[in-house]
Amino acid sequence: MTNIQLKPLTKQVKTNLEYYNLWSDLKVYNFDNDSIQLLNGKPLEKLQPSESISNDKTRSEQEQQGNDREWIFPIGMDEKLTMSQTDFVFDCIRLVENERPKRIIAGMVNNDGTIVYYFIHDGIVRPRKS
Amino acid sequence: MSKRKNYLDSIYRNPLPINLTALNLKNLVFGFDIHQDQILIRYQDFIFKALDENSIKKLWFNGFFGKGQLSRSEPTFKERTKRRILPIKDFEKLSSEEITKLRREERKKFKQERLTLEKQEILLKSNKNFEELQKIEFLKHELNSKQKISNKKSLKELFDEQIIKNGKDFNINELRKEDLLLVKKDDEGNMDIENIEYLQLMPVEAFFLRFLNLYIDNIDDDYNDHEITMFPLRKLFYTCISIDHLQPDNRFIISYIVYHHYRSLGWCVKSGIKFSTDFILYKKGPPFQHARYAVTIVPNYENDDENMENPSATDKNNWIWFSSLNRVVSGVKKNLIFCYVDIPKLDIFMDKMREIDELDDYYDEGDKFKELFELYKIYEIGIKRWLPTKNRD
Repeated sequence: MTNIQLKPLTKQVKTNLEYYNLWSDLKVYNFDNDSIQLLNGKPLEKLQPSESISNDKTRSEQEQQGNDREWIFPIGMDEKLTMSQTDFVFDCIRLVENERPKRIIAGMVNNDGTIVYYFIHDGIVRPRKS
Repeated sequence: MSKRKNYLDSIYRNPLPINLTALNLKNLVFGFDIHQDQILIRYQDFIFKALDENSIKKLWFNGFFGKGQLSRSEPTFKERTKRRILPIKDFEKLSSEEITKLRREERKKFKQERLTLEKQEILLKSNKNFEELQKIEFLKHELNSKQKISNKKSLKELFDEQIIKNGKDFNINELRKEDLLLVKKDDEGNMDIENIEYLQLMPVEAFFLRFLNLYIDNIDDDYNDHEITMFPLRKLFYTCISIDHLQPDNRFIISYIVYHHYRSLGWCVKSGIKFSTDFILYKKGPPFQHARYAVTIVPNYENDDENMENPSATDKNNWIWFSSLNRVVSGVKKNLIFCYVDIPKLDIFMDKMREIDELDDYYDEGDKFKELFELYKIYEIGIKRWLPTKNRD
């Protein structure tokens, strides 16, 4: 994993996560002949648990079980992202984790250096209390 | 407050990185002596960046150009990080990022306390213990009133509480692996932080500064102080538009026209990405007051069929999009401005581009680009939602 050439977008998102959002232990993964580059790392504090509607477990059960690492998918502001591309990203992660993750995080990079993060869930989710 | 304003006025004196006292009339007419006041911008990994402290300072303090790569706006990474990981605690220089963090932690604490009380409340209700329930309700009321702005703790109080909370001795072995990489010792053996932050410029900012001959750039990846080259405006232009098939409604060109328009009228123009618009306008700059205006660019074609056909134009004619945009912008107390840019005819545009391409390298390209930009016309409309039941005046 150590000698992967970082794509410019990946590099920007990685630095932002490490030194702006203070995530740790970020790893880079390449998929599909290096056409897709994903990041995997640990947030400063555990993010909200992902709850899918089909899942009957309580919140606390899930929190205990939940993975404290997250998958990040860097994407440029001017890039288009289709449903099947998103689906493919979930499938790529299955190669590493043996199952599709409940969610990934899209890290959208703007040309002024701002990066905005969005959860993308694998299906519908229950709303949470604010 | 006026003391603060005077202070801000004194450190952010110039709207552009031009030192007028150093100029004489000749310079004003024939361009600036750039070597006198050097700003270096480097293009690397598709990003325009200022790396050295001198250039960063000049760009930020004279017109608020760029954004700290690891900050919300002004580059504060080094100072922030020092306070975060080294045993240095000075309240006076707190950055806006740190203030937000303190306030958020306060809010989180409030939510936890509220949750605890609510749980007790439910329990007491089910046990029909009304005496205790009254007490809880009183506590809840008290907790909520502490959240009112006038009752909130001051920043200084929050800051001091946090220091007490994290008051344990500094231990370098407890740092994150990532932070450990930043710690270094200065010449006197004091611990310091390596500054890994650069100032990132939007392509329109880089082009604007270069159009005004305000910086020297270096496009090569291998940074070499001895061979600093100023690459031609034309090359910079093609770098910014980043596609081969150039059309008169090219996104970069239109954005640049709008950026240049507001900059020349004295506005401080920053990205509007967080408010789903193209730009936001500050009267003077971010430290002074919030941006009053949010600008959305709408290309306008001479032929109305083209206005309907063009994908970006049809997006912009979508009423749902319009309505949601207005919601977001008014929600952050800004006024929405639609900035219409008249797109020139393809043949006129192409003629001008050909003239630019055929220029020989020593010709002043600025004039030709000026002619190109003058093919575009701008007019703006301010938009505000009107509610018949409320807005009677």
